[in-house]
Order: sequence, then C-alpha cells, then structure tokens
Amino acid sequence: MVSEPRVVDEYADAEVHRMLTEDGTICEQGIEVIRRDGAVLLRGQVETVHRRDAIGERVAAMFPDKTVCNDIVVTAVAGPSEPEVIT
Amino acid sequence: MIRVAAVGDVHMDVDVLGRYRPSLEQLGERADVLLLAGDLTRHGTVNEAECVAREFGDLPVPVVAVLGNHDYHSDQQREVTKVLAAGGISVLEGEGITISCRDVKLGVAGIKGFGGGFAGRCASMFGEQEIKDFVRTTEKAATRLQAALLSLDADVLVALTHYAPVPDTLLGEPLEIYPFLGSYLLGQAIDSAPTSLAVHGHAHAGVERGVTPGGVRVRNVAHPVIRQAYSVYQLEAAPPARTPVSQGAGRGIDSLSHDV
Repeated sequence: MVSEPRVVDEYADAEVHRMLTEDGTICEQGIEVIRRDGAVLLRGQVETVHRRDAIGERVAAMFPDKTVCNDIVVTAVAGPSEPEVIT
Repeated sequence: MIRVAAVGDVHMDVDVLGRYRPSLEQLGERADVLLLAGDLTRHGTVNEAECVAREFGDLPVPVVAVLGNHDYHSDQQREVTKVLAAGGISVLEGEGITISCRDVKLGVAGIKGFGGGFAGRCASMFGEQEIKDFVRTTEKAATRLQAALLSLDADVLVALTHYAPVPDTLLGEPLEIYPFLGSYLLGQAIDSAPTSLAVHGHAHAGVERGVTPGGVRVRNVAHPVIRQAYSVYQLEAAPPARTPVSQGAGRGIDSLSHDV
C-alpha cells in the first residue's frame, strides 16, 4: 500500500513566510499569515494597493483550495500629529 | 529647542513616488531636520535609491539617513549611498554630523546596526565561526556608534540606527525574532554618551516608545508603527538628566574600542 504524502501545516507556514520575503516581487517581512480550516487571513501594512494585491494573489496561488481574506492595509502618509516634547 | 522629524522603512520604489511629498512640503514649518531610519528601498537597487532621492531630496531642511537591511539586499549599498548623497541626503554609517539651527547645534551619529538580541537572551562570541561573525558584526557597529557619538561637539545628541537598541520598542513582534531585530550593544553605546534621543526603524509590528537602561528615550519610527508621513520630536538644548550606566560589567563597549 502506497501512502499519500503528508501535508504538514508547519512546513507550509514556513514556505509562505519565506516566499513573502524572498520573492523579488513581494519582499515583505511584516505580513502575518493566519490559516483557518477553509481560509487564509493576511494582516499587515504595505506602502501601496498594488503591493497588497500582489501578496494576495501569490498567497492564493499557494493555497488554491482556500479562500484568501486579504486584510492588509496601506499605511497612511498624512501629515504628522503634534510634536512630542522630549523632556 | 530643536525639532527632529523622523521616519523609517518607507521601502521606496516607483509605485510609492509622490505618496510622501504632500506631507513633506510642509516639513520646513514643522521640523528643523529629517532623519530617515533605514529600509529606504525594497531591494536596495540604484533605481529604488533614485526614487528615495526624488521623494526625500530637495527639502527645506537637512535630511540625514542610515541604510537598513533591505538597502543591502542587492549588494549595491555603496551605489545606493552615492545616489542618496547626490540627492542631498547625508548617509551615515558609523559617522556623525552636526547641524546648526536657531543657535542650537544638533549632533547626529548614525549606523545601520545589526542583530544579536538583548540582555540575558543574546548571542555570544562562542562556537561556530558563523556565530562569532554574527556577534562581531554587531560589536563593531556598536563600537563605531559609540565613537561617533563621543566625537560630536553638539548641544543636542541624537543616535540614528535601523536596528533597535532596546527591546521595549519591539513589543508586538514575535519574541523568537528579537535577536534579528536589534541588540543591547547598540543601547549600551547610546548610553555611553549624553544622548538625548535614539531613533530606529526595522520593527514594523513594534511600538513607538521605549527607553534605554540609562534613560535615553528611544523612538521606533518605522512607518507601519507611526502610521503617518513622519513624527516630530522636540528636544531641549540640555540633555535630560539620567543615571550613568556602568560600562564595566561583562563585555562592555569600552573593551571593543580597538575594533574601530
């Protein structure tokens, strides 16, 4: 009897985190990937909408049988709040 | 009094060009200097550095930067530094610079820094050569930062790094990666001089405020932490009173000065 190869979640987690850092089109180290039974939740901050969507697409390709919930936000670049006085 | 604006981890590329510029246009009214705390690019390429120079160059205040780990990724850090310098941005790597503004002389000592961890949970100079090289890299960086801080003749002293000098500002990051986010040796170097403020980036999931064991305020200005184009810190000319930290215990910075 030939057994099916085991899919080990922990190795998949390591693979997706390394992909997010090492893929030259992504290069993000601060993205949180949370896996649920049927979904993958992405959280974190990036500089542009394009970067957020690119991460969602790459993760979706790695987990084709799961729904990817992309909650990554684009970091605001508004003017500063009041100065902090360091005394 | 001097106003220091700071941001890090802006990860510029062509897709970010122009995002910061509207807020930067009012910089001259809000601050006297802008510090960039590393990870200015995504992959450390010359093209990305040109984007940094366009976005953060030609501003009404001096701009001082250190590079971050992303800026080293393509092994083009020297070319990146040249592009930034050509754009009017002063890049520090173990050096100091003084800036006079309204009768106050600000000194900024900057270096990228490196990892290693924090007191009680840090890497040591022991075992495989690769581990020793890792620790030695941080020790050299800390020694150079200390020398740069002590060399400056200034009314207000600021330390600028990419890696964190204290664990306080890493709160929110996984504990397992703290040794890759900073080193207590940087904090020890900062405490060896009359530093008023230490600014760093790198820890996207951390928090803004911390303090060194010697009482120097530390601010993590990584863009995902401050969530605005830059933060502004107002410093008085006299450094804050604080308790001197002993340099004699364990492997102190003083013992490394020959490595400079």
